[in-house]
Amino acid sequence: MWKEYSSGYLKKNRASSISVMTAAFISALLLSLLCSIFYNLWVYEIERIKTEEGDWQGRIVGEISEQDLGRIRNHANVEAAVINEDLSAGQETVVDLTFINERKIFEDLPRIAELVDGDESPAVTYHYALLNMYLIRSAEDTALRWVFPFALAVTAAACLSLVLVIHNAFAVSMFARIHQFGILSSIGATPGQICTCLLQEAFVLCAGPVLAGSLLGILVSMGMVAALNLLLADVEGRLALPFGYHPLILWLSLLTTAVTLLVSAWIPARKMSRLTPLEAIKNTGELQLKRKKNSRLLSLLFGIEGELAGNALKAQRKAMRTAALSLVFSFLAFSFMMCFITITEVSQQETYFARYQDAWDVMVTMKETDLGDFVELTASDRQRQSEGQKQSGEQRQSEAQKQSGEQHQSDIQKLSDENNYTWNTLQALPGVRSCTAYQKAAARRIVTPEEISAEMLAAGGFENPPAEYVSKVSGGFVVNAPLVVLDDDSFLEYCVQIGVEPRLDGAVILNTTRDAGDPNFRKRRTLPYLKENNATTVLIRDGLTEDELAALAAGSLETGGRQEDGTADPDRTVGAQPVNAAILPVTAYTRTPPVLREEYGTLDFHELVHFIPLSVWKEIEAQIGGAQQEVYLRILAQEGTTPAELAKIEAQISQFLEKTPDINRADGEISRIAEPESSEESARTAEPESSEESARTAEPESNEEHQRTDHSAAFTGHIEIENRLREQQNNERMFTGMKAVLSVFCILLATIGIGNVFSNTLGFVRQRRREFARYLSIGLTPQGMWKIFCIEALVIAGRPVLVALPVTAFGVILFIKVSYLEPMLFIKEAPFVPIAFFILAIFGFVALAYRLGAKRLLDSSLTDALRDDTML
Amino acid sequence: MEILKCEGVEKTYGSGGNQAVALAGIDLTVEKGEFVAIIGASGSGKSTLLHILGSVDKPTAGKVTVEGTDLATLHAKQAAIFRRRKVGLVYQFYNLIPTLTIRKNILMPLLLDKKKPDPAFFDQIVQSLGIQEKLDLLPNQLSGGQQQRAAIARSLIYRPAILLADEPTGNLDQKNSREIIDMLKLSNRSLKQTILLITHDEKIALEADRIVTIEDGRILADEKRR
Repeated sequence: MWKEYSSGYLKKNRASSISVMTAAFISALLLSLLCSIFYNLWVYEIERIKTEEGDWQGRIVGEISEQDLGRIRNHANVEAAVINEDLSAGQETVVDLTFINERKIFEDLPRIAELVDGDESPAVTYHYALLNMYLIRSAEDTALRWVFPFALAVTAAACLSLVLVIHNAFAVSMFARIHQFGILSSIGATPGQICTCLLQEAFVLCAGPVLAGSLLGILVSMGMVAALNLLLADVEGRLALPFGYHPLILWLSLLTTAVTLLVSAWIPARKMSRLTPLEAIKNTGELQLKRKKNSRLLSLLFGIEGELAGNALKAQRKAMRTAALSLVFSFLAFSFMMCFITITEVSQQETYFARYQDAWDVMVTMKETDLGDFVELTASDRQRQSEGQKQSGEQRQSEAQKQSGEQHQSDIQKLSDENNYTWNTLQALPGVRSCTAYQKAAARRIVTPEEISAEMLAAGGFENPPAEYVSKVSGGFVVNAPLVVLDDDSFLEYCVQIGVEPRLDGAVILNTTRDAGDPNFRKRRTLPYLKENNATTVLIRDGLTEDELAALAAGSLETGGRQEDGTADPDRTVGAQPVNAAILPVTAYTRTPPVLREEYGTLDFHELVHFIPLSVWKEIEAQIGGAQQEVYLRILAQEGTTPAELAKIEAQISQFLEKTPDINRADGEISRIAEPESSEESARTAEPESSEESARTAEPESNEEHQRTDHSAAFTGHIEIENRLREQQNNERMFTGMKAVLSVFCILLATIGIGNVFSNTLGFVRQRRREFARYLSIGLTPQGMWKIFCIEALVIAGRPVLVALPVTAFGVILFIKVSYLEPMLFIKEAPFVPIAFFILAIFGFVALAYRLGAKRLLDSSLTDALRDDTML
Repeated sequence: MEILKCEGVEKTYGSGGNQAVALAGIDLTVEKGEFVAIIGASGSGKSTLLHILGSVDKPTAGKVTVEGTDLATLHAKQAAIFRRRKVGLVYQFYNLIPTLTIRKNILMPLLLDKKKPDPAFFDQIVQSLGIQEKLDLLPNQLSGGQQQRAAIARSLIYRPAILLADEPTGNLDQKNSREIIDMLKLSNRSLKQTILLITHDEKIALEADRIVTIEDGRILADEKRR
């Protein structure tokens, strides 16, 4: 039959053959591309998890001897068991395990742990994140970990859609020929012969395109991986994504396509075998409706042409199902993805980048460092940078003058000079607007009911306070009183900022509490916390027992300078402090915190934040303790600083800190951070004669030298420097990369739909010729016929938009509401352009498909169809 | 009154050595209210003539005038509107639109013109054709005879100048064929509808007022019977 029938048919019906071949090629390409990209991202994610969290699947922690380790290694399912030297400490050994069959890990690891001798059975932990990448889940893992299974499901769904496209393209072509096969059957062709004939055709038409498509898919995925690497090349801390390909993927995609084609050829053959030859001959392959349908909306909008188009679409529904689903899903996914990434960006911008725009540009965290030591150790730098200091002083003076006048400024200058604080060499750096050094410490404070403000009482006061933050003692409530210790200069400036007399002997109390009844976490209402009638505040050491607290409340309040009327004695100074507590004069109550990176009262609404100068902290440190061993440097650059300029400032700060000695608290010795061998240089830094070098530090021309400095080596484990603009840039790149990857998937999904539309419209001449010939015979104008096509195209392309936009809008509104984001902030950044572009692309391609199909149909001789029996 | 006039109508397909002459100079005039049957063997050119008269095809030479309109002067849109309003076409295979109900199929020419049907005339047609019970069904839910009646109803709904029927009974059994011819005759008598019927069946042709015989694209005989 091949020679007699099929080869001739294929030659004479090139359009139909090309349609099938195109569908097979595009589908195989996309299938291969999708599988390859998914495989690469899967491998990348596994590598990322292994790099960040360790290459282990199960972990045993306990007293594990060499013999135990040997027994563990000898377990049949253990691939490797390695002692984790970093985490093992003292008697406790941490053994990381990988398994031959990781699916049995939840059965085997507890058994392996039993192999360890000892009184206490060792603890076992599982690397759930890594195991999840192999779809191994445990009921004990409460984390959702939905991303990978979801991505896998989406990929599987996309593969299924592609399989459906291949099936659809082939099946449409085959079903259209049932009439012809009926004729062949009527003259004696057996179902087996017809099936063989169809399979031969399927092989001849699709073998080449499927192979070519699969190979091209691999090449395109290589290109995409390279493009992604290029796009994200500058993102710090990102692992490179090397291209990888497993031969199994090729075989799997080829096998899937081959099976699809076999099934697609087999289904019409099976249908044929159930039809009598007469039934097959009568089968016109025309679009039919089984039940009466109304296209009221289209009829209302476009008249009878609308109804004809609507009914034709309903009749084609099965053939167009793939197109409809893939276009709707692709657009829905695209619009959702774009909107939600935008919301995330805006939200992050609001909560992080924009919020800190006028707070900090470079943030330095010095680990295991004390603020006092840091300031003292850098004090001797003062003489080495007179020029820079002068400049800095002028800058700060001009700013302070702007804010509060000359009197306050002269006070600052005076106090500053008296205390000889010169750590702020950094302020001399060109481009630096302000610089604050601070440290945090934990403390507690007793709040008496009489102190509480009316507003706070009205809002509930201390009714049902959370036990983890507030404890009740006789006469009041013990609340957290976090201390923020500012360098003295910054504290004085802060006094000026809030409009109080600058002094270095007391505390400024942040007199606000968040209104727990306001669900808007972004801009939660605040209330005054205290009545502001106490002139002193009593800070208590954190971590005291309830008995100690009760004793302190009873005893120290008396000895702590309280007057008989219960109010504090304003004349009490910090000189004579009780044990475990400190009494400080209140410099001011304020609702304005200093410009730092910190947020207050986010979890504990009852905390009462105190800002104190370093001078005061030195006095009370012994009683209060609780200082975090981290010093923060908040550096704000001049307005309009570019990322390059900020990078220069960052490099200079790095160099400055590199030359700053650090305190080793364990042994009390001073050593250079991460450069113990260069102690001579360190000593030089502290000497006045090295002022030239120090001055150079502040000068831009020394940048080349700074760039060469291996900062990561110099500050590892001691100093962390964050550059807000660079983080913002990295963040933007990450988002761009994320958008690019997800957009590609959405485009692929849409391509499936577009491919399906093309495969349908290219079959118009065969499928709809008679339908349009009828329209012609009853007087439908060519314009009317074009109108029908336009309406159909409009519906196919418009449906995804009509379905997806309201769903997306609903989701966006909901998300904006939940996240308390200003709608206008989203609207300003809303991805109208890419979404409009996506819509236009869908409309454009569907219109092109219909234009090609309709032109071919209308250019054919419709008159012949009216009398041509072979068309039936 | 002359409603249709053909003068030297020729139609050839292909070119050069492959040229096939379908019509070789047809001269024909049909008066208003006439029932004309055109008979001829398969391939004699009768269907080609009908398509030219129905303006779905154009003659290679010659002139066709329907109610004074020269069909050669009509461009595609005008030809479509002409077909819609002036010609009713009935085919052997009914050519109903499978996705529309019988009612919509019948009203289609009016709907294309955005005109409201005359309910009395619509009822008269469907009742006389006996399909009033089938109006809300789809074509594939009707028998061949019922579909052909619906096709005739559609061709009559615009009160066309001429009804062109191409082998309307070719796909029907004897009983249904008889009924269809009776209905055509009825419409010719009661509605004064001009009908041009193409058939190869002489018995059916004998029902007409006039029989025109075509052979090899030429009129061989033109016999008035009444």
